[in-house]
Amino acid sequence: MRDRLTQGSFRSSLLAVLAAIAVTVILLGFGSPSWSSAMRAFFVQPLTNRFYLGNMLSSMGYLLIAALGIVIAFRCGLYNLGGEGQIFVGALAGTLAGLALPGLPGIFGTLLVLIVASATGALLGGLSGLFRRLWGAPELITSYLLSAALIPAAEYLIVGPANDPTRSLLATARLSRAYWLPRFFAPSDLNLSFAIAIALAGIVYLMMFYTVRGYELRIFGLNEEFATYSGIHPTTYTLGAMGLSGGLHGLTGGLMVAGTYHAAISGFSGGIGWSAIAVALVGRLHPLGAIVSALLFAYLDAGTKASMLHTEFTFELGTVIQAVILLLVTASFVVSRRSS
Amino acid sequence: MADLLLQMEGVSKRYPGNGVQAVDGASLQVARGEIRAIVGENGAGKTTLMHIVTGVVGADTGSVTVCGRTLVTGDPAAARAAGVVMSYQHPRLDRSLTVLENLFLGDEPRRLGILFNRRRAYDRIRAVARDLPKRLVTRPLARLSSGQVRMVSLVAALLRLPTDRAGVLILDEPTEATTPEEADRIFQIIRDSAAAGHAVVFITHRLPEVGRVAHTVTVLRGGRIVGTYAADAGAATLAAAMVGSSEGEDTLHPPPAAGTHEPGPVRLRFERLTIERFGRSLVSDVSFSVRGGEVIGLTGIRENGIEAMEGLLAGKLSHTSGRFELDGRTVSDPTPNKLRSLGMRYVPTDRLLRGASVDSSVSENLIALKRRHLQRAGLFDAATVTDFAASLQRRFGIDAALNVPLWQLSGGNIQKVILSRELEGDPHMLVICEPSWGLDFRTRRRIISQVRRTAQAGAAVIVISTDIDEVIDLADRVLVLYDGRIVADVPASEASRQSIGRAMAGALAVGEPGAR
Repeated sequence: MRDRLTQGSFRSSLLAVLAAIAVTVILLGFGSPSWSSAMRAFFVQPLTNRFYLGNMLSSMGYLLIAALGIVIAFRCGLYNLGGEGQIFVGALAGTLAGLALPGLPGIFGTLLVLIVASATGALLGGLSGLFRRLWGAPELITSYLLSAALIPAAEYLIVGPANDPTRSLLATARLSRAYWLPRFFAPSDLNLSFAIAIALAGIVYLMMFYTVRGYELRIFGLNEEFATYSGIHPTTYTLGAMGLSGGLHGLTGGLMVAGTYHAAISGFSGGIGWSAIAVALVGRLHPLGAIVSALLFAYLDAGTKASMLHTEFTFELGTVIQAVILLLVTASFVVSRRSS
Repeated sequence: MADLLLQMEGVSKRYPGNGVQAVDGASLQVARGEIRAIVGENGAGKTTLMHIVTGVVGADTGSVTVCGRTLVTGDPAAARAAGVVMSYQHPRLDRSLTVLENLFLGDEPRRLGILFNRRRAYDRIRAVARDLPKRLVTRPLARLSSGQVRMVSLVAALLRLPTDRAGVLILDEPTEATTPEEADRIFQIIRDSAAAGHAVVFITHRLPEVGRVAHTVTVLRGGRIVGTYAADAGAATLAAAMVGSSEGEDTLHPPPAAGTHEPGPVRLRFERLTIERFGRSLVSDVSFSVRGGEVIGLTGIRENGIEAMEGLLAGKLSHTSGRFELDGRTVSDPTPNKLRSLGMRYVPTDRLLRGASVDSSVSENLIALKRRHLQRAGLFDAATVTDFAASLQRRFGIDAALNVPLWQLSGGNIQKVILSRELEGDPHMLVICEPSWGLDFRTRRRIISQVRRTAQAGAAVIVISTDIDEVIDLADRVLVLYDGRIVADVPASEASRQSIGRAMAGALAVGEPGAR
């Protein structure tokens, strides 16, 4: 199946998205008493208000980095389903490191948080790669299970030993202010992470299509056997791609802490690891396509939040809309496969 | 008049994408019980013509009548309902499912409405192919040889043939990638189907097959039907018709003999080599060496050691004892990576699985070995990549754009892509398996002279093939493996089809342990 994932045209992605918007419009009609105000809240509100717009771009950045992690793994023919855990555990590890060494000069403190978070994610991802290499254990299962087992452990640390009793939140203590990433669109959350995400998309794009490493990774993903016979080393790519994928997820977690939350909070990753898979697929596993689809997902998410605040629209309906998009995206893959 | 099961009148098809007139005013009649061969060079329109019959491709003009029903072309369901069944050149089967599951996917005989009735499935297989071994049927497809996969795709077609009335069975290169024994079984199946009252049409590149199994043969050239001949017309007549009369004579000359130049240094050496797997010895006590400039033909019946030798030379298997030297360096634990970095070039038997990435573009397939040399400042240099790919495209006459995915190419062109990549840039060592599978004879001749030229430029070449004629044609020296041992090692000039055939069957080994 993966050989066809990338081949369908972006057009069918676009079609899926348009169909999803049509369904959204219909659902909005059913979900709230005033159709026109719901429409406005959903589609216009996120763009008119500095706060909404900034937050939308901020969550787009996080989605994008995690989606790049998915792009790298899937292009290498590996299914990393542990993104959620890699983000969460990475964020916690980064936070704990930052809290343990509170007195560093600002930039180094930030780097510490980000590096520890990325390394933790990379370790988790790499471990699944290693299991696959050593025993042929499918990374799809091990990455998911590893993540599913570690999330509750991380939750325990946050509400238990690492909890900050002075705050009423289920959260760790806050990082020292010097470690926070600069914000630039007050009062929103938008911070340096967004720029980092866009830059990373460019880097991954160059890496993927213009370097030997990227070429080897793609060939390995399309035909492992052929790649091996061309002298491409399987261990490098199974471990490397899973490690890199996990690392980008860990980085997402670290940036969320340094940029937005400033602490590890119970349940704060909120399914972003799963949304990232959808973002990567809608973007047809293309790093630049992921920018567009991350924006789109962030926009729909912002729309859902805005309509919940301003109309009778419920949270469940918002989830339904995202599910519809996923369903339509999947359908578009089936259609493009049939026609080829 | 015999009743005609397949009638095509004035059928034409032009592909709008590339403007190629693939079929041009073709008319064809095939009668009940007839076996018709279709021959022509790569790109002559054979496959398109057959795809029009099956409805996969719609014709621009002309009519197709099957078993008395005139079909609307381009409607596969209608063609199937009329009794047309085709076995494809590159069957799209699922490699992780067993043979049985592949054969009945979506059409499983049921028990209690929901359970897969395996016994009924076996019975249906036995009805169409008596001698398909039962142990083969329960194996996942991934564990079958390419020849066995061909057999499975043929059986899949037979299962879909109507049982209560006549049908049209179409086969695209049914014996490609098969051993001589497998080919014999496929021929028997073809004869049985015709005897049962079906019409059989098969596309082939192997002209000798025509005389062995077909009743009649139709020659295509550039999309037009040149003529239909009796099967005993002879290879010379057919070949001349395929390429056009003026060229025919010239093309039939055998390729130039191997050069009489001085042999170079020993590049590859095996000494008392043994390969064991799961306690069984696949290759025992094999010693030989290959010098630069030399072409060694390694042949034998399947399961007698040639697969193991391919596995070793590809880095998939390791030897258990003995020595394996490349360019004077001992290779103790061969891996594909190690062999590649020592300069080994390799054209595998299974071209599509190991030799190419079918979902990548032509250009990406061409640069696989050269990838590190096409960069500037750490990034691929687009101009260098294109120049390199285009030079291979020109040199080997690859008839396709560089940016299309490989799976869109014809079988012959895919072969050229793989061969051109492996032959490029004067390699030291080349292992080439079944060099001419799926190639028409002109392309085949081109490949043979390319391999020769590679040897003359100093490469040590090992040709691994189950085709005796091919080995004798191409090699300077022929080695025969039987039961894992070398039972014959003779100069190609002294080898005959009969003597090599006897050695393959083990006749020379009797009473002569370790015979050379």
